[in-house]
Order: sequence, then structure tokens, then C-alpha cells
Amino acid sequence: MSAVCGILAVAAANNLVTIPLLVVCVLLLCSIYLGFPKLLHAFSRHHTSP
Amino acid sequence: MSIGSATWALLLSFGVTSILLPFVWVILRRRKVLDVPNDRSSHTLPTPRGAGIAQLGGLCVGLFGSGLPTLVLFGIAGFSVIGAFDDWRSTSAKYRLMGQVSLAAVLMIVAMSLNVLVMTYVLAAAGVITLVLLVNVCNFMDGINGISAIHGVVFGITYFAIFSTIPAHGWASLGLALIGISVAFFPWNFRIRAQMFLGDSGSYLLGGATGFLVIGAWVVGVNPIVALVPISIYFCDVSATLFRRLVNGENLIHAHRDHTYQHLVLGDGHIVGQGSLLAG
Repeated sequence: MSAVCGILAVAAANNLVTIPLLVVCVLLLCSIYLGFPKLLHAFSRHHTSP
Repeated sequence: MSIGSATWALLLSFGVTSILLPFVWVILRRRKVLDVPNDRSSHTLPTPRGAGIAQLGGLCVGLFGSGLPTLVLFGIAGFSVIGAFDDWRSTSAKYRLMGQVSLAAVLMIVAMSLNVLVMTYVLAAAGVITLVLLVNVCNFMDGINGISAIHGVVFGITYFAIFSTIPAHGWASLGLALIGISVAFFPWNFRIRAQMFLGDSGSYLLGGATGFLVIGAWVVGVNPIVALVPISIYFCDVSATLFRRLVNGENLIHAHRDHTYQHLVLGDGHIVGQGSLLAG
């Protein structure tokens, strides 16, 4: 996740990504990161249930 | 920045840290500087903590003559030493915070007065806040094996890539040195049972170095938002966790296992370093 943020930052520093788009992408990445535990637990339950 | 000096920063920081780590491990074990697990820990056996001192040695040697302002190196070392005090003899959170704020303020005042870093008052104030925040954020996030080493590499590569496109004295070398000291620490920590922890000396060092990389980016004219983006996952995890605990009426300074990265390793069937790899 931090690596993806890093790639976006480098792209923005080289004017390949605009700042508003960068902000939207980072907010999206943060939301995905915060939602990961629920996703993993749901996946784990699905695969361990008989 | 010449490619030669940057390569030296990477190789020397890696080499010196790799050499120092076994000595530091022996000293920490003999002096019983151990992280004893409790019910809120992610480890089960007492483990030496304080590998950050070896990393500090590697960073200083790697960056010698790199063109990076000496004040920056002093600043990073200062934060690491404050952390080392806590590793060796636990100090109260209040005194640690006072030490961090005082050090950050002195560094920014000296940097501005001596024109070491050309900055406005607003930027200097932002620098103090950034340094203190990042030192603590990196400390909070240093809770599972490998997470700080992986982020040291990720932050190092990112800021090296940002600085390598612009004339920035020594800043790119700091990014590479951060990669070197982090990679050297991998074999000791990124495994099922860690042989050694960074301790506060290491997490403060990572926070201080990353804080200075952000400030350096601002000073050389990188967009302030762009300079902060690489550390956004760290900020996101810490702020979401503090907000959750505040809403639930829990004590904010008590030890806990409520971070998102910690939830990533609590479930069944996780692989080694799953949380660290996902966050990184």
C-alpha cells in the first residue's frame, strides 16, 4: 500500500498525475487498507467453514 | 548528486549496519535490554530491542561526505538517542515527548538561523510538527515483524526517486542510506521469531529520517501534498486507531493491539509478514 502511494507521489512529482487525482487515489488506497482486516476475516471464515 | 556518492551511501550504510548488528545483539542480550511480551504483544519470547543503534552507526558512516547538511544527521541521531534511552531505561511518555519537541524546535531554529535549510517561519513550524508526528507515528507502527524494515525500504526508494530528478544536496543519499540500513535489518527481524527488535532507537530513527526527507522535499520546492503522500498509510492507520479508541472512551496512551496492521495478523491462516507486506 505504501509502495503504491510512493509510486503515485513520484508520478505526481514528475507531473504525470495531477494533485486532485493524487488526493483521490490516496484516499481510496487508505480506505482499502482500513477495510483489509474485515475482508481477510470474511475470506478466512469462508474457507474454514464446513 | 553524483552516482558514485549515492552508491557509496547505500553500500556503506548496509555494510556498516550489517557488521554492527551482531555486536549490538550480544550487548543487548548481556545487558538484558529485552522486550518482555505481555498479553498485548505480538511476540511470545523475550527479545533484545535496540537495533536502531546499529542502524544509526550505518547511517552516519554511509552519509559521511554525502553533502547532506550535518545538522540533519545530528537531528536524526538525536531522535535515535532519545529512543535508546527508553530502550535501556524506560522513561515516561511525557518526558519523551518533551525531549522530541525540544529537539525538533532547536533543530528548526538552528537550520533557519544558520541558513542550513532555507525556509520560512511557517515551514519551520510545519517542520517541528512533522518531525514530532513522524517520530511517534513510526513508533506506534513498529509493532509487527518486518513492518519498519519494509517501510524503511519503501520510503527510501520513494524519496530517492523524488530527489534524484532535482538538484538536492545529499537528500537522495539519505533515501539510499535508509534503504541500506533497513535491508541490513531484514534477516534479524523479518521471520516468524524475530532475533531482535528495532526498539525506540530504531523507530525514532526511521521517523526522524523520514521527517527530514519530507522537510527536505518542501525546502527544494516539491509540492507539500506530494511530499506527504508516501507516509499516508502510516498516518491513516494511526489516526484511524486513535479516533476509534477515542470514540470507545479508551485510554489513548495505553498499549493496545488495535492498529489495522495488527488486525491483519490476528486472523487464522496468515502467512509470515502478511500484515507488514500488505501495509508496505
